[in-house]
Amino acid sequence: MKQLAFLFLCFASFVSAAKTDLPLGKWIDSAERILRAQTSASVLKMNINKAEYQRDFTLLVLTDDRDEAQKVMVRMLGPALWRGNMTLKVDERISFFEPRNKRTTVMSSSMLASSWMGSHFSNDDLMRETDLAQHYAYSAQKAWDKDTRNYHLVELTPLPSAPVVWGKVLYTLYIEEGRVYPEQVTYFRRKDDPKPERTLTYSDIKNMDGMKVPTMMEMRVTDKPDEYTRMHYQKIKFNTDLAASKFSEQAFL
Amino acid sequence: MGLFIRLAWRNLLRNRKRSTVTALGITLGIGFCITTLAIMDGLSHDLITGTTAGQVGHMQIHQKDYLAKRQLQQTITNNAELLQSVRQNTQISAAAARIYSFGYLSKENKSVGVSLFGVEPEHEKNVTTLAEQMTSGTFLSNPTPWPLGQALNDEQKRLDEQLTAQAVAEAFAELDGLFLDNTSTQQQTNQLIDTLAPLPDVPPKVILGVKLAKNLQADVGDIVTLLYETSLGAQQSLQLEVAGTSRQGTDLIDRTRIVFHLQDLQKLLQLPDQSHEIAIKTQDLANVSLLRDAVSDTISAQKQELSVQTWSQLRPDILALIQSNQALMGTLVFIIFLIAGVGVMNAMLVSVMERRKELCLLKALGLKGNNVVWLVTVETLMLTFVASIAGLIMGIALGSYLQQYGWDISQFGEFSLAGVGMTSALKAKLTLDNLLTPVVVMFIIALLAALYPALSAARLIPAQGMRSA
Repeated sequence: MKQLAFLFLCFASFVSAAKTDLPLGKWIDSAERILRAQTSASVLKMNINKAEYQRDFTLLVLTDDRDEAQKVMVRMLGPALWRGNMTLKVDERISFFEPRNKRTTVMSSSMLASSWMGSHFSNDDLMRETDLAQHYAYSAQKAWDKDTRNYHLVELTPLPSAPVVWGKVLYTLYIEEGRVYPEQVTYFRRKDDPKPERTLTYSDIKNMDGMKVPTMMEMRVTDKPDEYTRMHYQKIKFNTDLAASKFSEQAFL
Repeated sequence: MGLFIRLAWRNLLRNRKRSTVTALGITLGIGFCITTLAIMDGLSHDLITGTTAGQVGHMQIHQKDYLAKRQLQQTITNNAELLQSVRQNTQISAAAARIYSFGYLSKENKSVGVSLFGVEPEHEKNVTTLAEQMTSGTFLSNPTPWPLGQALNDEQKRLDEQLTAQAVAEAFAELDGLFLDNTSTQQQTNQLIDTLAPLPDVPPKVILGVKLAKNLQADVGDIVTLLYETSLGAQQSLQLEVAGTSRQGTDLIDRTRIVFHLQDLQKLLQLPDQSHEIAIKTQDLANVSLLRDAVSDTISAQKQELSVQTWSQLRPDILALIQSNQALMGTLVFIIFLIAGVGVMNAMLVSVMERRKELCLLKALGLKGNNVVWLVTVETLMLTFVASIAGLIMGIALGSYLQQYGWDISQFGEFSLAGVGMTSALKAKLTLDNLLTPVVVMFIIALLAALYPALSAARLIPAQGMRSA
């Protein structure tokens, strides 16, 4: 039985290799992980620019993908009204802590799709529930070279049973010195939509903790061309051994 | 004329049984039509009062785009001043400002998404029946003592920036494995927050929807915690005291609504002197469109862009429901009349045929064709007249009984139409229109029904008619 399964696996990998000789899934996975690695701790500035308001936040984001259950902790460092607010997500469970009243509220995962702190990023984006490297089928659309970068445009279509909200995702990435970098991701609500609903752009490559990474993420919504949310990474530490206790509700207190 | 009436009366009495049966048809037709129309009017009236008194009011003022987006920031900015100018209009009996938002309410380990609804209790009472919807506890009265939030001064702003830098440094030190005590940062931060968004002296009192209270197992006097987002976008939590529960009748509202004092919610959301909606009750609902224009003129002097809408513009679905109801009932009434009309025609036709010989004799004696038409028509009208009076009496009796006591439909369960909680007794509403319309329509139909028998009687040829009999 095991042998049979192995044979099948070989066959399956052969078929998929025959269809496309590029390791697209692996690339997307590397590109998506560039700011996360196994674990990451980063301080970033978030700048929300909407017609109704402008807001600037400073955040500390801790992620840990070493286990099955992905863990994310966002602690707000400023300004005053937000300082000390913490959002913790372990697997499906989201809890929110407010320091003045020392009050923890557990929220349902249906809150994932709603906007995070009024930005153009959803809870889902910030907490990375939907993994572009997991629930999609990939096809290479285009490849080109620019300077020393080897660009690829990949079309992602969700697998039939994937629990995702996007009908199509176009992922532009490039390879430089053997490393995969994300450049732009456009999200389409339905597969046939002529215009994307929103666009995420990565830019401003800098050296962080010994690795070159994009330090600016900008999300724009197509319907509102003047609005955007920018996340500007100030400092990142990769692959430190973050204690599990940092991702528990005890860390709130 | 007198002669015709006497003749007609005598003819009607000649076959009493037939006349009675025909008259009964008309009586029942008119009687039931009056009742049906009265019930329909009662239902429309209930729907309109349910809509206006239950939630909407007669008209509402909003910031221009509020209804499309319902964003927290889309407020009427000079609430008090605007309210004052609106209340000066003598045609307006009451005006109450409201604020809406959303939050997350929890008690112990249960949490529910809720909608927040801020009202001015003393004015809201005069616009809607909100205060009468209480199922336990007491309605809101006074705002909670609550200091007003202030913007940070320059020194505090510098301190805030310094604290952010400090928090960043602490965060990284923590990652590097150094232990740092950040309680002082948080303490200083809390002082700043207390300046920006002070806490109330006591937990504000709120009214929970009856199903919400049940789901959270919260009773009057209990403390619940609300997580909410202020208009600045900060998530905060606050303890609230349950002052009572209310039943509006719509499932969604009873399941999710928390009612606040307007001033409490203004402070909670940090929207000083602002509101999302001003609900207005007018002296006369029938003139609401005219008054809408007047109010529109009044507020056009304001600097901000506002819009005024009547209840029917705000709830076009209710108006459409009423109109489709009316069309349905109209069709029903028409069918009843058609049947009654055919009955009348049949009776008159038989009566004319029976009296062929004597009509021919009358014609032979010199009665003209149009006089024969007149004779038969008068007969029909007299029959209809007598039957209408009986029908009116029946309709008034049945209608006023239903107006007084209503038709208990509670056996069909809790009843709400298009989101309007309805009373369980369907009440009729008798109006002059409802009484006169069936009678007038019946007369027209009877006249039309008499036409054929009358004309066929007029066309009788005396010589032939008398011989064949």
